[in-house]
Amino acid sequence: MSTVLSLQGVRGGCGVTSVVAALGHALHAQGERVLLVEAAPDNLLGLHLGLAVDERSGWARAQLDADDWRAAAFELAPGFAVLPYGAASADEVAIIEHWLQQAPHTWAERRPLLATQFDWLLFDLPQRLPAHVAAVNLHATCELPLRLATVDPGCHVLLQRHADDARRVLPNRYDPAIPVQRDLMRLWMEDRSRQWVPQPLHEDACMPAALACKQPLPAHAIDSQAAADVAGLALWCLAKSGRQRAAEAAG
Amino acid sequence: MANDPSASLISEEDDIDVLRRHLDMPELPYVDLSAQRERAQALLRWPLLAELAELAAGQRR
Repeated sequence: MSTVLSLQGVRGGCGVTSVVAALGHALHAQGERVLLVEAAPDNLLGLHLGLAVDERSGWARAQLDADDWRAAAFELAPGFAVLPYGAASADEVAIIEHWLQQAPHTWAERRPLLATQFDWLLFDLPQRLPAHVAAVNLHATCELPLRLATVDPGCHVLLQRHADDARRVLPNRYDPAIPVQRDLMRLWMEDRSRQWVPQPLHEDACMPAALACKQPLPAHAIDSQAAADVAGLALWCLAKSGRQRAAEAAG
Repeated sequence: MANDPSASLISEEDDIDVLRRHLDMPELPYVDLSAQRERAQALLRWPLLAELAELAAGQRR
């Protein structure tokens, strides 16, 4: 039994890859077996976890080269692994997008095998590749599909424009010392028309520093505010998944 | 009362909930004036947020 969680930015630059790496580390610290899957073609997730900058392998690269995608995963520690996207040009990303349109059940079909080895599959989703996103959120029975929003007026506008999107929203980079952020957070928490993840992540200089050190945030700065937030987020995910399983077992 | 867990109030909102239960009036209307005032002030400060709030209210009507 595994839980699929996906994270997609409300717009680009919200910090999805950093949060996926940090959350994966925090869930693993709770004793969970975690696989991080990079479904975005930036090929950055592995860097948060210590892979070499010139590392080219990944599941999309394997698909393009007709290799085995399972050989593209990297074990970081027992029960903690990452499956990068791999190096791909813009044209190659378009090929993968087209392939996922034709084979939307790709991740659904891979899930049973992954579920034998991992408790959590965390997907880092791209912004503008709908078949990449649908293969996870629509077809792979994603239990926790989340959106990530930085606490700023741009995300506020986009959240309202896409009011029909029922996914829970996780606020990121919250700095209560900035007046407009404080006011926005007040409006968001009072907004009952939308569901929020009740553990906002604070703005923290340790987040970019962690990437510069090629480490997930909790490994780089366990005592930072954002690492404490991510630990809280991991506990919320565990509780949420536990409740969903109990509800399924009951009915 | 000492054994009543609802007696350990942690916030003003809990206070109101206890009152609602005590009066057996779950529908008792309660308006948090200070939260409303802070919201109105926030919207006054930021014209974009006010415009969006106006649009959202229009869509709900």
